[in-house]
Amino acid sequence: MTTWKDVLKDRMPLDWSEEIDLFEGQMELRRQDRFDEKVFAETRLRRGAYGQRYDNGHRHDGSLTRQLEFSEAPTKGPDTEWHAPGMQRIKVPFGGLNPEQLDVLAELAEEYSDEILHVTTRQDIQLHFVHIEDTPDLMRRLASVGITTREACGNSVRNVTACPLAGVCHSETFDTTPYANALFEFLLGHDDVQDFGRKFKPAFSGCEHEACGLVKMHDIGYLAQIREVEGKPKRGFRFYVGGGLGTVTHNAKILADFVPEEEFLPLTQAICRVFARLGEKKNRNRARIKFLVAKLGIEEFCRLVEEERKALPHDPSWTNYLSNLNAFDESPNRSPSDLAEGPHPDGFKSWFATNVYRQRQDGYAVVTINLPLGDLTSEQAWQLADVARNYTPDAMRTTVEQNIVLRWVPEGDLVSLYQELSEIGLATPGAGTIVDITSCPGTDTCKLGIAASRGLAAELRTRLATQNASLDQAVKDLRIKISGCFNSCGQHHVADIGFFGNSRRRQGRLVPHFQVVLGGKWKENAGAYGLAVGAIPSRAVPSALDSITNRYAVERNVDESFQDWVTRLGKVEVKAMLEPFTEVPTFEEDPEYFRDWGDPREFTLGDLGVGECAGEVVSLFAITIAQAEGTAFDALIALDEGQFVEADDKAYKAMIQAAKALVLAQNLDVGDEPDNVVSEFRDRFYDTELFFDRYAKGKFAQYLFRRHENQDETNSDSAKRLVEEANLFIEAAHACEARIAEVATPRLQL
Amino acid sequence: MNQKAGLTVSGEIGQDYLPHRIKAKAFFQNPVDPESVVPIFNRWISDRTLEGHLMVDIADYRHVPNGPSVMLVGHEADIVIDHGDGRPGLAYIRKRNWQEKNNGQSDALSSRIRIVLNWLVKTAKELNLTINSNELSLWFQDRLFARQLGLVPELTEAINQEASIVLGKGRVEVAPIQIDTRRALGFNARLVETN
Repeated sequence: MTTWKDVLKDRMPLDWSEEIDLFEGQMELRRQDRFDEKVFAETRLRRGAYGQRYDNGHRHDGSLTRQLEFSEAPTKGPDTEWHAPGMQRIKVPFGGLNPEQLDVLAELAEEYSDEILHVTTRQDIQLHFVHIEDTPDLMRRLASVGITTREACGNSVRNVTACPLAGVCHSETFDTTPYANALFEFLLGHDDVQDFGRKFKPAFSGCEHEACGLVKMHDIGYLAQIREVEGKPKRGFRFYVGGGLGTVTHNAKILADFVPEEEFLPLTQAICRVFARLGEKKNRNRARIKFLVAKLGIEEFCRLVEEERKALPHDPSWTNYLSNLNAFDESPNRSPSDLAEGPHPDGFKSWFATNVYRQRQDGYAVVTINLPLGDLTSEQAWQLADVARNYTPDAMRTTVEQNIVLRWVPEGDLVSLYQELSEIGLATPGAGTIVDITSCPGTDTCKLGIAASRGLAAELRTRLATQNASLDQAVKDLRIKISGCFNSCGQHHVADIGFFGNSRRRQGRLVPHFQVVLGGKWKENAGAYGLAVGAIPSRAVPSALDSITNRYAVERNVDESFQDWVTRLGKVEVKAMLEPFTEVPTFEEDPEYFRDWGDPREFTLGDLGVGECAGEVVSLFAITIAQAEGTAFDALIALDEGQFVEADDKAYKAMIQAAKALVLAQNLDVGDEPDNVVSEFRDRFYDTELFFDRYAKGKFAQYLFRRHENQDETNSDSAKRLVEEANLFIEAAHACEARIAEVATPRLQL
Repeated sequence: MNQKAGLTVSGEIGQDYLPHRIKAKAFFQNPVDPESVVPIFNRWISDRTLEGHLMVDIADYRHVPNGPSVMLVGHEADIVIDHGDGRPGLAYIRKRNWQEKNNGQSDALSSRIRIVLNWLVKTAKELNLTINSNELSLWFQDRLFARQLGLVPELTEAINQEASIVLGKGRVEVAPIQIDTRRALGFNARLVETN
């Protein structure tokens, strides 16, 4: 039977292809209950395969919790049913997409998901309702067009985000795109980022005073700078570290005001190593780097990073990319032109006012596709890919406001582009205004969601769109962002008006509420965080919003910003303004108050599950040995298929991985080179007899040494023997790790 | 031997070439408010109304133009108030656990089409929807299947045979929907002559 693996074998990068094969093997082992569920959970999370609401096999129907009786199978993580639909997160570094990639994403959405592509607040694409068994082929099809899902979730380096205007912006210091890509490539799968206690989110900005890449709210942020060094302009970055939203917001601290471009990767590596070594591992609520920076203080953190940097072995990939910085330059496929004088089609004027940004390159514009709640259908995606092919040099980017932009559109083509977008339902005006509401998935699909953030966003969007013409310009310019819980995935802290879901008990029933957060600052790279001013019932939010915006429109001083107005009003007055909306009628008077937007069930918290944002805290040994087990399983498959050379090769590779798993605990720099792994393993575990079994002594290590030193001619017998030896070696590695853990041998301090 | 999309395959429809995902759609005769079906879908999840189906969740995409407006997501199948292509209708998308009763492999493809169409009709009836009884569409969303099999006569014949049963007595014409090569392999079945 022909498979996607066969069809695409020559179109995937070899290492990506092998990683997917490995994941598929691990999946099979888990199906056979031969792979620990926690390790598998972290393994799949690191492949971007995330849990989804109801995957614990329970769903509350408004009156009681019903069991969803999935057929028997091992779990795919603690309390997570194998057959339950899940979410696949797909990394899109700096948001960059070409039409071919969008075509494939649309195919995958139709074939494995629900015909919807969802753009996230971190420039990823998410597909929902995906079965775990479909994920390897889904990943192969993505890999064939240069997209990986590796480390899209889990305790890893998440998508590298950047301003969607990078390279075409009027105020940027320089185009950060090649640097964002270099960081993505450098850190993807890097040994130094495999042992974090929590996720790690990087972002790039070209401008200091715009929202740009929002570097101040990220774990690590890079703000482009040019300094004069020895009389010549020199590119570099201001490093921000330890910013973050979440339950407790942290303002990022400046780690270094200027780091020259050739130092930006090694310094990042040093930061990662300090975070991996000293970051919290047990208490996931305090495991982000922001807590480490706060605990140590920025001065001590800087000192540790500098020390770490000095100890780093040189890596040529720190600077290799610098010789190819223009690889991401885009050449327009149409000549520049000016927008023709009107008359223009109906709706063009308002669309042009909000959705078009004139590039710094004369005659070209960036067009924002304002996606409702970040969603577009597969059909729209194919059509948009065609539009991009026609008008742009294959230049699209996703945005953190859950939109897609087209770059390098000649201004003279804007009218025809608008007409084509209108025909496919993608010419909605209002991008970057109050109607362009950002929302996390909330209770629609998230296991942690408390209230229906998307339901509220859809309701507000509909109401504001009808009021839009009559809204004051200052109100139109406000931004609304909504999260379904306190975890801030909807980035409510950096909106003018933010909401996050919670609940209150009233009259013996639960009522969905949203906490109102006012005064966040989007510009200045998320320059200030808003403050919670009170919770109001979900149903009252539209009226409360009207009250806030109407009063702002009437009472604001000329040029007074929303933040300044809120400050001037004072918390007492703001609370008083919201007070009338906090009332909850009786259930008999208005049962709608006891339901959430878009959901006819009576509101409950019964569907809350355990989130996977944090990933499972699994040791580096567990992750690496799991890879070894997957490879050994692949060797077994190859043996069954009579592929003896492949079986031999994979069995050997599995032993190398298992040896590496042990070595990593003492030396993070061991790398993948077999000679190095074997040498390190011999020095640290064989010569010291740490690997020795009580009875077998060093026998199992000899399996590795023998194969490493002599590759005899492979036949069915030798391949079979080596596959068996590989499994014994892996078992011995497990036993060794357990013995070491028992006597609590401290890890070598870096 | 047939040559499809660069792959050499046998023309015989065997187990290897059975599609894993088929969507069938019937079109509404009267407008349907998608919101009105949400409580019904909720009940179907709770009561396990659809035999042999585990329904899990409801996805609301009413904000997306010409999309899957409201979707009842299940393990075996999804049921959709579907506004795709600007033509509102009811769609049944079968994804797994086919449980076909085969009379040999040559019947397997027909059996899968039959399963999908039967459930489409059944769910329309359960929802009390009036659908156009002269026309329906079928999409084979499994692109590996489409690459391997493509537009072989056996497939068109199987669709014709099964659609004829659903659309009533008369002559049914089956035509490929050739909108875009990136889209799933699609067919329109239309009753052109009644007996």
